[in-house]
Amino acid sequence: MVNRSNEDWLRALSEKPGEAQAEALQDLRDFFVRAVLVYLSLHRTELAGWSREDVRGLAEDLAQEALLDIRASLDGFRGDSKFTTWAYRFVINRAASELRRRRYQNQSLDRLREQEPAFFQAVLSDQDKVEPEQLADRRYYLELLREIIETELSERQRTALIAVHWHGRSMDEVAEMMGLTRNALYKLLHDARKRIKASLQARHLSEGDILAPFQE
Amino acid sequence: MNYTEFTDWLERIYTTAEVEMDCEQFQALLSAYVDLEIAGQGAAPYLAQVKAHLAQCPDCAEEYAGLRKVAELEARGRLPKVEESLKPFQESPALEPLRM
Repeated sequence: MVNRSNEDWLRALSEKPGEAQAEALQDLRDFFVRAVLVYLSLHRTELAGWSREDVRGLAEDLAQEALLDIRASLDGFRGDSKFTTWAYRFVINRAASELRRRRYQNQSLDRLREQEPAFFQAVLSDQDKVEPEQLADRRYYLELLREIIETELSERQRTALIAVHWHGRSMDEVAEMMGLTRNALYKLLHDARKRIKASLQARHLSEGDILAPFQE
Repeated sequence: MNYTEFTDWLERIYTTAEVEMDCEQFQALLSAYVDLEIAGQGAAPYLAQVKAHLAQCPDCAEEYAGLRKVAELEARGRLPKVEESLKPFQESPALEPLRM
């Protein structure tokens, strides 16, 4: 493992093209390949059927892309972490985005919305042993939540909520489909959550109140 | 959505804060936060906000977990070599000899 201080990394990478810069770039590329392979190993069930050469090829491609990201972002390093930790973020984010892209390709938002009415149905399954009064309470709260989502959220908030919260789609994937950045999607969802929470609190309903009829 | 997913979802709603750290703010702090955690100094002033963001953003949580793992291995001098990481994957098929 090459031991460079943060200053050494910055100096070598910022230098004019030459031997020192080429060596630092090669070292960083090697670290990136090793780092991204750790990440891909954590997610290897998603790469079932991939050969070692396939995985190595993907890791090298991601490392190369991250290297370009880093070179364009060196000025953004504030020195509040190890340089390598800061740098690994670029390659991990690249790898995470790539796996998400493969995970969810060909899924449209419209398709997700089609499944919307069934959302709360599964919560009500397996109620053979439930007393009718308890069952009525469950139905009441689920219907209330559905109504809040339907009537108090904007169309875009509803779409985002259904895709991310209900169907577990990734933020990046949904953001791309909605023409947003991940940050803008986070804010949209945050507003949606605040709206639902405020609406429940205006009815003096706590989390415990809603969950009570669902306890066995 | 089963019962467990429903309770998790409801918790996401009720733990929503009026002001939350967004993804850009989180990403800007991420590497420093991971280093502090590895150094055993995770109780930084922004810990609660970081944890709240991780609970609400699956993508940032996934990236945090990956970075944490890599940085931890590196800090212990145990970042695996390429061949070691490739071992769990299947061997590449041998190339067929070229027939002329």
